[in-house]
Amino acid sequence: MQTHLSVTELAQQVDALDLLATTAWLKSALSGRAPLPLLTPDEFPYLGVTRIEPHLDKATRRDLETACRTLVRDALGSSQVDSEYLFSLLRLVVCWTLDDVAPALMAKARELASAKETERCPLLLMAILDLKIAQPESFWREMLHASAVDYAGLAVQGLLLGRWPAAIEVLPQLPNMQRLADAVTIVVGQRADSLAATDRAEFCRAVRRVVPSCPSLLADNLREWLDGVGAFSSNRELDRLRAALKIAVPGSSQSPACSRLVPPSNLAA
Amino acid sequence: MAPSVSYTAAVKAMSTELRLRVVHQLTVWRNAPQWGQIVDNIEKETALPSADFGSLLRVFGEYLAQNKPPEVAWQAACQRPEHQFCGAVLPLSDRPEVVGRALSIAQYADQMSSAGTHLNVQAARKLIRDYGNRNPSQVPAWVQRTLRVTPVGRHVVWATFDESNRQRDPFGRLLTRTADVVTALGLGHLAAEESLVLLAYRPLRDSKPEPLHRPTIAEAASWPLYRPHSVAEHPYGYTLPLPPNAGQLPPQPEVVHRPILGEGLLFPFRLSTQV
Repeated sequence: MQTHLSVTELAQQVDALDLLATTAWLKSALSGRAPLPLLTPDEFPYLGVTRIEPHLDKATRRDLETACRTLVRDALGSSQVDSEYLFSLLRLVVCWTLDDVAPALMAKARELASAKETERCPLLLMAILDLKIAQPESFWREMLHASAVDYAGLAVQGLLLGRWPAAIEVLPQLPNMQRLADAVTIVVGQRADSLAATDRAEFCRAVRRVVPSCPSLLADNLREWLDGVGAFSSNRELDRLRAALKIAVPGSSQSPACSRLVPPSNLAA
Repeated sequence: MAPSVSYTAAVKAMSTELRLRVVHQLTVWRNAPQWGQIVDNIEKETALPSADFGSLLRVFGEYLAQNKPPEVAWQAACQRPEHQFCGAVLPLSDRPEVVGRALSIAQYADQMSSAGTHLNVQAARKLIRDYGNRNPSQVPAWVQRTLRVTPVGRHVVWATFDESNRQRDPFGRLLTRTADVVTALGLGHLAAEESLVLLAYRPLRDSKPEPLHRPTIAEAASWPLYRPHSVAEHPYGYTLPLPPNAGQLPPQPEVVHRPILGEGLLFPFRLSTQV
């Protein structure tokens, strides 16, 4: 007995559809009503679509992108959209880098933010962020001012994508919330990881300057991050250091015995 | 193999009209690629109490009578709250202290970012890759807190445990290679370049033990890789390792529970390896 269709068989079924039927299939698939190649039953359906996509004809892929744009337009125009469906739909926008959709997402985010909407607006902001198109600082400041409690974490990430001093400047204005403080510390660390050593030192100095005026939960995190963990906060960073160690000590296969080789204060001072 | 006693009793208890609809639909499905297995599972289910089995098939029949597409009708009937988690709760004597589940990095990141953690998906994916396999002392408090407010799954969480030591991380001994985990747990599709997050956790909700249930066809719904255990009294189910299973990995214990946050998450959380 054949228990389930292979990815190739599913792709063949989608290849046989015209644009209208492809749009209907995509909507049904993202709503969890069509068989998809999922790893576990609780996976977001878009992951199944992304596993089929490489097996599709070029023309079908184009149709799928067109279908995705159509469904986004419909979803943005409706007030009755299921959040899980919208999440999956927007993940496809990101996976297929449909950058042309960004202005519509921003416009809708502005509209929802002005009403302090908390379900769909964060999903739109996440998609805008993940599209990696640098948005104007004014957009993220607008989100921050609309509702810092709801959108501040994503707004800080948006500001960090661009001119990072703008992001650090707003840290003292954030609400004193644990989840937000944790998220901001994570993205501050990730931004630091992405910088070259000299820029990172400057970044850390800028963070250190604002810490005293930050809300207490964030200030505590940032102090700890600056005190050490932040300097080697990721596997990637450790890998870099391990690689450096191997170069410095030819023939050594030992990992650093200590996770802190250089006092981070040297970087942050 | 003859249909289970529970199935036979459930069918018998239905009105003639609904019974004919349901039996006809199951006959139609029997030879359909992705549905033949579902029919087989329905007929072999032993863990669903008779009343719940009867209700599930009756609601399915009613949806068919309302002209819902059969696939939608089955899924909708299964997903009705009264049909979920009807398998027996694991008694204390069988309850594992630690359970585990495997999910794609992308899925875990999606769960993290959609759970109000203020992180976008890209940041969540980076966090998972950065801190997977790291000792607790190397995972800052703010990362640990974020992981503890991230759900371990959605809707229905399928989990396994180490049958020989129920306090141990089920992935701790052998299972860390992606292909082995997928085979042993009988998971679905994974692209070659994808890796897994292997979560081990104490199933807790607000510090209290979350009930673990024996899985049934209702939680599996249209998921074709579920296999009902033939012994009605057994406290939990087992996975069916995927063929060809060259390493002859044994079936793994299988339970389901409602979605919970990662408050009981054990560190390090592992990332599977490709080799």
